[in-house]
Amino acid sequence: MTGSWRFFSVTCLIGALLLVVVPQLWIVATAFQQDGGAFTLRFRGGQMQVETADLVRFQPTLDTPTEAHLVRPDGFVITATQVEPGQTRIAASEPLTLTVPAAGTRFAFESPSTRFRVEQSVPLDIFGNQSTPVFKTRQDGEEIILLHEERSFLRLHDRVTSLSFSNFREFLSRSTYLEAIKNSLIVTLVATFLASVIAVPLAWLVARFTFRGRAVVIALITMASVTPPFLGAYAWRMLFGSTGLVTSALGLNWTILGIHGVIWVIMWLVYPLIFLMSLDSFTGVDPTLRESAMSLGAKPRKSFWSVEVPTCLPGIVTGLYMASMQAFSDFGTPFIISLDLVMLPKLVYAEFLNETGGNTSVASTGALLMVMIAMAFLGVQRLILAGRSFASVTARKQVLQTPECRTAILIYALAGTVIGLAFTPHVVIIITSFLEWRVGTVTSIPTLQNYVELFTSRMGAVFVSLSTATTATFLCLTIGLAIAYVIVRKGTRVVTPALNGVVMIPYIIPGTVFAIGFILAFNQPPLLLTGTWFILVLSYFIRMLPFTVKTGEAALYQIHPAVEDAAMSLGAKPARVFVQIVAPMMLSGAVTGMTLVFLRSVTELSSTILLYRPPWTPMSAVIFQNTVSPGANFGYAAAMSVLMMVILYVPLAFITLKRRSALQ
Amino acid sequence: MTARGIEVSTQGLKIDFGDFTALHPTDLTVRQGELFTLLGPSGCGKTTLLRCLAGFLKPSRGSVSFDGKDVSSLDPWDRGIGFVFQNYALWPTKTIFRNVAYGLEVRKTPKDEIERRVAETLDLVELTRARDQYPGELSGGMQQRAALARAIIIDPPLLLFDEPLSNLDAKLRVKLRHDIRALQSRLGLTAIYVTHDQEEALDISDRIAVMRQGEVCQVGTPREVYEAPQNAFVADFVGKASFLRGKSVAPGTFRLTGGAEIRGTFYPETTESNAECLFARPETIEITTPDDGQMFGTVADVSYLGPVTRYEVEVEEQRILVETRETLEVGSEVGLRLPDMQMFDSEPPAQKQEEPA
Repeated sequence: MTGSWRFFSVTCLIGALLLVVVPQLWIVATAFQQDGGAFTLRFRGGQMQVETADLVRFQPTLDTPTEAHLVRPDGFVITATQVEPGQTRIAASEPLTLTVPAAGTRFAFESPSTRFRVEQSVPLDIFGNQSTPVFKTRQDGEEIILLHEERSFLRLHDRVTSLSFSNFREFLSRSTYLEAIKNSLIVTLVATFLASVIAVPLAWLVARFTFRGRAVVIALITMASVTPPFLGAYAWRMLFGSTGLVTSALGLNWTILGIHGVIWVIMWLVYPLIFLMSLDSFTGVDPTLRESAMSLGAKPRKSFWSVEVPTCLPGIVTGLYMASMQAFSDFGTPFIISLDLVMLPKLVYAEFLNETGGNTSVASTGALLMVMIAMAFLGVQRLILAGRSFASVTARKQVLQTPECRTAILIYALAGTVIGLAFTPHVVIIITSFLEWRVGTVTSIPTLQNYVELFTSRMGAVFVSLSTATTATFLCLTIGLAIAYVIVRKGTRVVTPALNGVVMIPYIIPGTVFAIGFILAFNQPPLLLTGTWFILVLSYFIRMLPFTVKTGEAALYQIHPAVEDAAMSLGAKPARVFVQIVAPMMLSGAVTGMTLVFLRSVTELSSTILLYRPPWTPMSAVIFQNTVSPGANFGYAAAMSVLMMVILYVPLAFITLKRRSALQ
Repeated sequence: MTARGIEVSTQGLKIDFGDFTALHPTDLTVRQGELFTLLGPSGCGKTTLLRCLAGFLKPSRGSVSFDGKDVSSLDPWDRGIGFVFQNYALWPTKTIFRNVAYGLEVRKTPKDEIERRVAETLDLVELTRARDQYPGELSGGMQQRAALARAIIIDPPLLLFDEPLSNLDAKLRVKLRHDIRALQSRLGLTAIYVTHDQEEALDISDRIAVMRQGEVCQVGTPREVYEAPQNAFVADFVGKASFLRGKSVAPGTFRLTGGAEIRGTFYPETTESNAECLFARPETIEITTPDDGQMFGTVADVSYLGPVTRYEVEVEEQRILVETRETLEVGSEVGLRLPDMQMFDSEPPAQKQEEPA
């Protein structure tokens, strides 16, 4: 390995450790970290009261207007006694010592096992002015005397953190969390199962039979595979929600809101993936395998089950795995379809972002659980595929059969239903983008106003989406493909396997978790990235890196190493060989993959929603926020969704056509 | 162009891949302007040796010299030699013109000179009309000619060929190997040619090195290698061979395993009784009447090949090949006369490694 490549791979490894491993370690560290707890005392009208909305680990055992006792699960007791208005005495089961005794806006005290920080805040006065409250403190034996404003909130926060499993215990003992795990698993398994029931047979029919419109079916399902996840949810809610168009028109008292709706929407989200993967493996089966089984006496049914299915299984199982991961980590659908259905990504998001009562540690614990569940899914996939070879060398192309009448009807019915339902959201969104919205509901008045608004004052989001996705794609193209090259061609004993392992990690990390790790790791100097344009770019880049590297590797396996030797023997040095010979060849093999990186970056929601801060708001966040804010004017968001479809489908159509012409 | 080839030599060159020794210490000298062939079955180390000469592999021990100068530490891009690959290795994203021009572009040759020299070189390999086509649009033979053009345009003193014709069909192979030979002697280059096809090697080489399991078994002209193989492996690998098992019992006498004794002149002259194998080329064996000749046998199998007919003759439960224009029936009793016989210490390796053409 030449020096420059070694330098490159070591740099990449360090970068990947920083951007992939460090955020995850932050999550782990946070998950196992237990905060000492906090409580707030409210003073008003000469009375003292424990604020029940802000209790972390502390529970009041006595709460009178002059005295409050609070107990922590470890037995630590703290007592606050109002001596007179504006003067409070604090005692505890351990001797207390002032550590920051000076008068000021803050002060701190500690005991052998605690380290409290006290903050005072004062409600605005009737003129809206806020005074700066000042403490005066005094040590009194083993107790603290505290002088404060008569009307104020005192927040006592024990900042001693301890290593503990208690977050897990809390996560697993609270019924909402268990409910979230249960719901997430039900949605994932049922949606994936239903999607595969539709997608796998259809894929088999399309792979084996020739019929008019076959290419159109494949193209439309390919299009459906890049549909932004939140569009479907919103459109279905618009049709079948509690005030939905169809529900009100027909006077139904049934709505799509609920777990069944989430399953329905996610099923239409993930089936294209299963269809495309299954189609690939059915098409890839060497027909001579089946023919040799038949020549040995196996009837068609027997040869199907004994030869065809086992050969195709790896592709189908991989498709199912990818679909279940998409279903499991989908963030938008449960939010839009059902606000009171708790699911893991939603809960983790809420715990993380909620400003009162939220708990970063618990959110990290949930994040960690999500990763564990994702790993369990991966484990199951690996277990099923263990010992099965992926390589299927096709000696001869499948000859497509002409279907009998009955089969043809089945194909058209199935394909028609599937495509019709998959594209219902698109039609709904396109129609509503030309209708006027009033106070959060759509009217039947046609208008172009939505587009006017979009193009005159809402182009910022379009710019953010395009610039972040383009930059991320460019990074994938350069760094991702170079990493693939190093891994395949310049393998070393330690660095490249490590690099390979690290860049594949984001593959199993759900977007929500990924974003939390990024925020935890990069929210303080010198790595203050949270809320910037760069963090969006970095997260798209890193999340797409596994896919890019795999695409690059696949492209490289098609390139015989001799083409590099040929250039070297003509006098080109390795760096030049890579740039002038290998890179152009890899690119032509990886064009489809790179387009998908771009499309997925544009539609990415689950990490975007945690990472973005205005003014760097991408389209996906704008559209999503509009779908979940009650009373929001969805009009321009609908127009923006239509623009997004154009941005998605034009490049997709281009590469599909190009690939077809390359095949001819 | 004048003869400007170089002399290539290796000194104790050894190449290991981990624990596996792909090439045992080897001393070879390829003379200036010579077409030298490395011939052997797959896995014999011939391609490894070639790639080491090109600089793609670094020797584990020993050295490679060009015109007496040690080049072992030179990188491939500094060696300035031409390499023609089995799979052509043309760059599919570049036109034939750009493929051929690449070596000159790397050397920062002026544009008009590149234009002129590519045109000349394409003319030389009869590809002028394919200039603006992409490799994928050309036939295998045309692609290999383009690859040849790409290699020779940098005026290399040494051309290396790694089984350049094995992906082509039989007729084209014969034509192209003569084209390569003609071009090489016209340009006066030294050429080293790797192949597993013994017919090809005999046809075009000045000298051949026959290799087996990482070792060179014999170096010689095609005639020497074919007519005077130094061991049973070379005899077996190059051309068709007839072998008989037995033991030499006295000078001029060889006793077959079955007991019959053969008398005659053997090469090498048997002085010790350690030879265990008798060898003759099928076409040198003459067929006579059963009461004549040095041994008797029964025709067991007949293959009509056109120019000759190949018979398998059973001699005391062993079978030997005989090629002759005579017509015989299966079961005929014949006498055999072997004017050119050779003895080897051991039999050829049990499995002759056949490679797909």
